[in-house]
Amino acid sequence: MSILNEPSVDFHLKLNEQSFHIPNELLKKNIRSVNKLLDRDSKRLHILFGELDQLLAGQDDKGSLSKLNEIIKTVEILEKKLEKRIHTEAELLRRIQYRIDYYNELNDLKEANDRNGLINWYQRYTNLLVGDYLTRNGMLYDEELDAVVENTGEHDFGVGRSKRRLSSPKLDEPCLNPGVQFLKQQGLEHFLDYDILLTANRISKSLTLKHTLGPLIHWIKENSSYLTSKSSMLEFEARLQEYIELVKIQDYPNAITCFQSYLVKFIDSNFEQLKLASGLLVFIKSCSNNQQTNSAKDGAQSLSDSSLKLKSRSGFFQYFFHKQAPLSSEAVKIPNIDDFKVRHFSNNMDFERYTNILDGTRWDVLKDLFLQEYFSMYGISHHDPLLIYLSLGISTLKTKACLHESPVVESENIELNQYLNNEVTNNKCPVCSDEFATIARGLPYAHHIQSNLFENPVMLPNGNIYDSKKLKILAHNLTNKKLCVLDEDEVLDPIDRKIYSENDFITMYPT
Amino acid sequence: MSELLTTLKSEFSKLCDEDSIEQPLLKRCLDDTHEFKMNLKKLKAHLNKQVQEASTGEHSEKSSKKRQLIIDKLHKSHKQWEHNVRKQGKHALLQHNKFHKVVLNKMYDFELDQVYVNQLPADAKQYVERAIGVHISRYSMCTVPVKDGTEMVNYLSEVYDIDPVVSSKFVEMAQIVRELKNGDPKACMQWAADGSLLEFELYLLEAMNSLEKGDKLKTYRYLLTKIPDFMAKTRKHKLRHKVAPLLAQLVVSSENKFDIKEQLEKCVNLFTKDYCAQNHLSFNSPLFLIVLSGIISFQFFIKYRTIRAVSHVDWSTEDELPFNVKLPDFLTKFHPIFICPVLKEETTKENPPFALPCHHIISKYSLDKLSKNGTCNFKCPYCPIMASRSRTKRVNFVIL
Ligand SMILES: [Zn+2]
Ligand SMILES: [Zn+2]
Repeated sequence: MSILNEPSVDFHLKLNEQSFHIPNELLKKNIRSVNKLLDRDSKRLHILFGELDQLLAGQDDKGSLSKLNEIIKTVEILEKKLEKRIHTEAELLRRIQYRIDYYNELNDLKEANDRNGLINWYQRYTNLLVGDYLTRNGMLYDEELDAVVENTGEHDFGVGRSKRRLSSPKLDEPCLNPGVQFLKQQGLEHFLDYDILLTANRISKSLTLKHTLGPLIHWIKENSSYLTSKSSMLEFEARLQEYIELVKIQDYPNAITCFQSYLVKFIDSNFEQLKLASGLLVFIKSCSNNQQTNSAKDGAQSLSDSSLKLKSRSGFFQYFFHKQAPLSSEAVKIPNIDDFKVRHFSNNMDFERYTNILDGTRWDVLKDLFLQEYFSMYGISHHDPLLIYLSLGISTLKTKACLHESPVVESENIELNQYLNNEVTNNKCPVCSDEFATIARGLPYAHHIQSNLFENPVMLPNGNIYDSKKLKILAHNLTNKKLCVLDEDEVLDPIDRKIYSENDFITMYPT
Repeated sequence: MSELLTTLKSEFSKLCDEDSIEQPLLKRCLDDTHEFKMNLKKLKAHLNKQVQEASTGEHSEKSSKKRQLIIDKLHKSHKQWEHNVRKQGKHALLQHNKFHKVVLNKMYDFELDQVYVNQLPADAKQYVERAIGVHISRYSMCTVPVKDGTEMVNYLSEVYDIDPVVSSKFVEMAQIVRELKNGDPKACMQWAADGSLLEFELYLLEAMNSLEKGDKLKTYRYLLTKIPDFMAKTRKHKLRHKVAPLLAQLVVSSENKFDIKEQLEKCVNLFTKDYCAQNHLSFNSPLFLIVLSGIISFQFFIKYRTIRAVSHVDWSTEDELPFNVKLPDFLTKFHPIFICPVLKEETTKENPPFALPCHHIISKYSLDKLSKNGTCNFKCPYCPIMASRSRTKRVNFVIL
């Protein structure tokens, strides 16, 4: 049953697969942590029971009782943890329930042929898309960004450390992302997994706005098995950024530690980049040394001396680890990070490459890479769904007549002009609206196979074709409102604003 | 009933015990752990008691038997707990994997990104945000508890760049609707035009409200004073028929057969429509209308994508969608669409419609072709009347 030529309920479900997929993934994750928790605690309980048995066998009553207390305590703590997990489970199940009810409602509306109800349903659907868009794109308040740093438990991590501020005093009502605010106002918060989108937004913004890696690194750790299975380059890029930032602030000991503990394992897949990264350290060092002698040119010279060693794989290993390089597969080509150029060093290729790697736009590259992995993990579309629907919708509505200003001749009667401009010739086409006209310009037109005109088409001598009944009603209204003096058989053309006689009507046959 | 929805419902019910989401699968783990804890506490008390008995009394056989019993019970309880929670943990994971397999895999058919062939330009976001602002100011203000309208107007202007002239109108509308929904129709009544359908429906709403309070006489008097007055003002004489059932109900029935909520909804709808029309606001936000068109056309995009993938055809013309999407009338009444019956193409600015002397209409390109660029007379393709280029007229369809 289709009322507006809308798709079937099944199709709607397919369109929104992710709204069931995500909570189920979260549920599975929750169960897995419960199983882990049970694993760990039952192992511990085995040990404790073993100890208890020994104490009991040795007739150590006091020890036995206190061991039993320890066991009870362990079970008690486990119980509390389970309670939390089950609370999460119930909340996630409720999400699915809300969504099932929502599509069930669609089903009922369609079966009852309830047109108004259906339109209301689609209004909620639209609001969900709006909420999704605002959550993904909306600004985040400092409190929200800080919250994520705290939650990650990465208190002393890399560059995050220098950026962290003392947390601001807690507000009574926390500032919320406008998307979440909007969803809550609309009572739609259960229909969208906004927490997932919010995390994406938070991690991206902590990268691009705060240049903080903590939240991203935390996420990478949590999802390392997924990323490894995809042989994702996200971890490498994140650690490389961490290293670069440490080099930038000239924290060489930590930079080298970071290099050795996180980057070296990528030696086979990202050799060229690592070579560049290690050269960077030398580059910066020599630059800062040269600040004293104040000679950039010499700096370039001494750099190329020391970086000579880094040109080869074995030289690289010798420089950094004083040992031979392991056998490896072929190195991967360096991705083109950006085309930032520093002119005065342009004679030296290395300088250019080093300044590329130091450039701030790497944060955006990192953000894009993160979002790609994040969205694909949850099966969420990478593009904002609202924009996708808008692109499709605009093209479906866009006629060849859209976006053309229809030339209107103003008459001398100001009131008449006002009435006609506002009530008659005012085009309410959404594609032609101020908001969408610019966007719509570059999108394709709809494909029509049938004329869509009006009843009783009549042509006036000026070539304008109208619905004759409507033209007569307009004449009647204009007379009533005393905007225009018309004879019984006269009409006013609202386009050229001239008066015509009904006798001049020519019935048309636009087949 | 939708097939997927049915599967979804039945499989979902297996994700909780006793069909209740208050009983998630892992709840049993918790219950067992709780029971385990209680058992342990109980056994500890027993042990304690046994220890005390043993210290006061002699090492009797009865006491050591008791002790062994407690130890056995401790072990049993531990074993049982572990067995149960592990089983339940496994079972829960199994059910969710099954849900994934049976429901989600069936539901997964395509990705949204795949149809996003015509991407919006990079600078689109600023316009989209304005459109969202208009949308929010149109629909959402009833739910925003704002006492001070100017606050809302400022907010919309700051956050979404909404013209205060427009948003203040929406704010007024929202305030009237809110009062109406709170049971106070005064502002709405004041706004309603004399003799309008809205006024009439508001009278009915008031009558229903007072009838529900059980005051038949008052309702009767209310209608007797308001309706004749209204009838004098209005030209909508058909409305009389609506009063009769209500009056009949007053006299005959003791049961309320009318739906106040529905009547309220009707009034809100009528008022919003009238209000938007009078203030030259679109009743539905452009954003909503476009999204709705997007939803309707989605299936066609998906279908086309599939066909294209199989047959390697490309989008037929770059600037036109390769398929037709039928939209409901309220989405197609904005512009007239004329398909040239000869070319089977929509007329455009470059290829406008022309009327032949017989009052049939064809496009300019067809006309050029038939008249060999105006050099000869030709027969209308739809009737036997002859035409020449000089006797045709450029026409312009206008929707009123
Ligand atoms: Zn248009
Ligand atoms: Zn003809």
